[in-house]
Order: sequence, then structure tokens, then C-alpha cells
Amino acid sequence: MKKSFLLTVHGTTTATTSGTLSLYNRWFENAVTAIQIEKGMTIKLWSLEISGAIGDILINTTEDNTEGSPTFVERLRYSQGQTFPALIIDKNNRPIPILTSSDGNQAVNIGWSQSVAATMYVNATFEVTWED
Amino acid sequence: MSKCPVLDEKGLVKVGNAFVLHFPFNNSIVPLKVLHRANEGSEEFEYGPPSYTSGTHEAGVIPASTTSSELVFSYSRLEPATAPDMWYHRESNKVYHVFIHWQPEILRVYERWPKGTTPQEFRGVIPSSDLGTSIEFGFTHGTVETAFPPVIRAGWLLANPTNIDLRACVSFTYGEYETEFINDPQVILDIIRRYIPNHQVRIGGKIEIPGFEEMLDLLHAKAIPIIPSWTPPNQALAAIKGALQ
Repeated sequence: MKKSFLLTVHGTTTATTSGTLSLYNRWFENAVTAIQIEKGMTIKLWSLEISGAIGDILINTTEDNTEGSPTFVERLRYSQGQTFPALIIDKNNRPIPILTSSDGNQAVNIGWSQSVAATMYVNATFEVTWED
Repeated sequence: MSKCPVLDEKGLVKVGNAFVLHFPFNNSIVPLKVLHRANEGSEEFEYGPPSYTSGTHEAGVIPASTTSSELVFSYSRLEPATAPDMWYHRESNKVYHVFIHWQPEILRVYERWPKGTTPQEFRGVIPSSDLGTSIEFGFTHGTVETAFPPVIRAGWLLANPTNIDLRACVSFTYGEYETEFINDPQVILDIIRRYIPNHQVRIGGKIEIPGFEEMLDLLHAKAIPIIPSWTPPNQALAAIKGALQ
């Protein structure tokens, strides 16, 4: 049976022009900089809300989050070219597959890139799906 | 939840219908009629974090890449004798039909019937607790449907294969059934062959369940062997009559 879980995370950029968001969610005891899903699960992006300063938000993935310094590769980039209102991205109500975990080591993170460091607020809704 | 005619919108058995406990360890069933639902209209139970604390983490947190110790549902509002395991009971003709909602659903859930055992296996490989986050089988996620007849105890393991320390939370949707054993051989055969709509819940796996006979006594029931569908009716009825004696 196909099962799924909606995971909404939020984070805020810091005073640098690029970096990786610390992600918060009510189920997380502490913020994390990457979300590693278990073998067989797929993570999809349903929506991304960006507000605050101008800049780009990047969805990155790695094949091995267990390495000491995992290599994340940019998969998607969304540009926020205005300071208001929040930009909401979806694909006509269909999610964008980001990653399928083949061995449990794969992970996704959210990065940012700006020409001038200023605070951006990010809220992303992922769906994690699997078969049980 | 289900289009099965014997179930209500919450997946619980409507009064007057057949509720069947299935025990794979001896390949038997116990067919029961639901006479009364003591908590009808009030089926939700918000339990909260499971009774588990790992190191310096908050209560109920399953740290990243770890497996909990065996969990039971303690409930301090109960009498001291029953508080350590809220679903354990010794009440006659009483079965709790429970949907256990484990959150977040990305946690692995391992059922342990009977408590303290690992009933799942694949060709001799057992998903023991030290393999909780890495083994490839033996677990589920999210909601688990089960039943708690008298005497039998269950335990649970939660495993977190992610890199995130996850706060776990549990709620229940349950029916408190007063039951009556169905002792008419023809009705039992019709239940087995699904001529009579019924709802079946599996309890455990291939490990023998201690207290099984005592459970039968408290349910005033007999264990009925599962009969192959191609068995001629007269032979099937004879087998059922034999089990009822």
C-alpha cells in the first residue's frame, strides 16, 4: 500500500550571501541542515514559500549524507526577485520528485545565494512517499 | 475508512457483526460477535509521546539512527496493577480493537507479539532490535491495526533510520468490544468462506503466544483451524465441530 507523509520545514538565511538553511519542523527535536530519508522512500517538493530579501533558494541533493563532508548538488533553483509578497511555487498542484533513496544515505537540503546578504524566510512542503 | 459492510467510518466493527481474531502461530481463528461497543461515539485517545527517553533527549524522542527499547503503553491514570500496560487486561468476553497511530510516519514500527519476541523473519533472518534501522523488512509505518484480547501482551519498537532526532507521538482509535464466541459450525464455515461479511485482525506471527489457552477461556471460545477453501462442506463442518468439542 502506498503511504505518504507531508513534511513542512522552515528556515531563515543568516548574514552571509550563501549557505545552507537550518530546517525546523515540529517533529524535529533540533534543527537539521539536511533531511536523510530511508531506503525506498521518495521525497517530492509540493511548495516553496519565500519572503523577505531578494535572492535564490536552491534545492540540493547528495547521494551520501553519511560522508564527513557530503557533496550536495544543486537540483532546483528558485529566484525571489522582489521583497514582497511571498513567492509560492508549485507545479499546477503536482509535486516535483526530488530524490529517491536507494540505500538510505541520500539526503536533500535547502541552500541560498544572494548578491547582498539579507534575511530571507523559507517555508517548504515536502511529501515523503513509500510502499508498505 | 473502509467499504467493508461490517465496519464503520473509523474502521471499527459495527455492533452485531463478526470480528475474527487470526493467530498465524497455530493457523487458527477465533470468531466473535460484537455484542456491544462500550465507547461508541468516543473512540479517540490522544496518548502523546511514548514512554521512552534516550539519554539526554526529551521524553519520546527517537534519536537519529537508533532503535528504541521495547515500548508498552503505560498510563498512570489507571490502577497501579494495570497502569504499566494500558491494553493488558483479564476481562471476560472483552476485546479492544485498536488502530495505533504512530507519528511521524517516517519512523519504523516493529510489532512484537508476544511482548519480548521478534515474530517476523525471512528465511531465518530475524529483524532484531540491533538491526532496527538497517534491516530491510519486518516493519511498517504509521497506523497499525491490532486487537488486544485478554491476557496477551504486546510490545513495540520504534526505529529512526533518518538523520533527524524525531519526536514520536501516539494516538489511538479504539473500540471496546463486549464479545460472544460464535459457536455455530455452519456460521463459522460461512465466516471462513466470507459468505458472512466479517472483519479479521491478525495477532502475532509464527511465535507461540503464551496465555493463548487462558485467553480462550476468558473469551469462552475455541480456536478454529483454518480450513482450506476446497475442503468439501461436510468435511469442513466436521473439522469445525471437532474443534468446538
